[in-house]
Amino acid sequence: MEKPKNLEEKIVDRIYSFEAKKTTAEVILRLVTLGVVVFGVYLLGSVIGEVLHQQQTFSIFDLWREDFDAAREYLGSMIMLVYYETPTELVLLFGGCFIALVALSLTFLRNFARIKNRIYSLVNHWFHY
Amino acid sequence: MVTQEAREEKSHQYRAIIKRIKNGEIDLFTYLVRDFTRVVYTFIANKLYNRDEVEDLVQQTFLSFYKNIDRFDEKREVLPYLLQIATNEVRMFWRSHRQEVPLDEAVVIQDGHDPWSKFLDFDSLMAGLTHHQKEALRMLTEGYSYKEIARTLRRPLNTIRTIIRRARLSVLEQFGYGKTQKS
Repeated sequence: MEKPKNLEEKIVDRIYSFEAKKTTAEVILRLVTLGVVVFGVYLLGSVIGEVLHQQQTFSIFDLWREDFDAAREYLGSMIMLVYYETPTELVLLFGGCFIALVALSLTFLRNFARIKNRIYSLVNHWFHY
Repeated sequence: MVTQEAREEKSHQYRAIIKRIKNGEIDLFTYLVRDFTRVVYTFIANKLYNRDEVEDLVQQTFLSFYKNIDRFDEKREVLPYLLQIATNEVRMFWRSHRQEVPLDEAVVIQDGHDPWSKFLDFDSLMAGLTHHQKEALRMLTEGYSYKEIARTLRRPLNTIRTIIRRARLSVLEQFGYGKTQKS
């Protein structure tokens, strides 16, 4: 049965169109998600730092310079004090965002070669074909 | 004649190609398109008669294969998998094109003779068929596969093939095609 020659070209064009849309959507989604998480980590980190600074929580560690032996003796109490003064919910949120950032970064790095190959194939097809 | 070694080497090549396609080198998919388009085209063209529809389904087959290539086990043979996809595409095509009414208004009834009347008189078409023949033909036109018909009618697959073939011949005889004399 005769098969038209340009059918192969139509098939390949269709595959590339599909892949172009898929890769574009994937890259945009990854970048937006990464951007949002990075912003979240930065924002939460800033807020936690600001809260602790206003409470002068870390001034308790000035004791390390003034009297090292006393600081060593009351180390447990100092740590508990810092713990009570720290905004727990914000720290948990910060921790979650940070873990998400690490996971997203690792996923992105793992898939980087694949995405790069796809983009290279697409550019090669549309601009040199 | 293709030797066993050549076939194995070809399979090995396809495995390597698919692995690289999964890794993002999608330009290698053109090798699969080049090697299998003719076979898939012939396979689908034996089931459909409209060239545009055949081409559409061939494209759809390769697109479906590409979409699922991440889940495809490269140790499997490519051609049977492609033909399975093609079969499913044809089945879905028949199911979506179940009833088509000709919209050609240029068909003019002249001298009281309606050339489409013999197509509209479905009951008389089916009158000459047995119950199993009618049931099998009805299910076939609705897009069921031979296997599904065999399962529903609780008959062996080859029996269903024979039933449908005889039903088709009987319908064709009513239009004046095929043998009218019983052998």
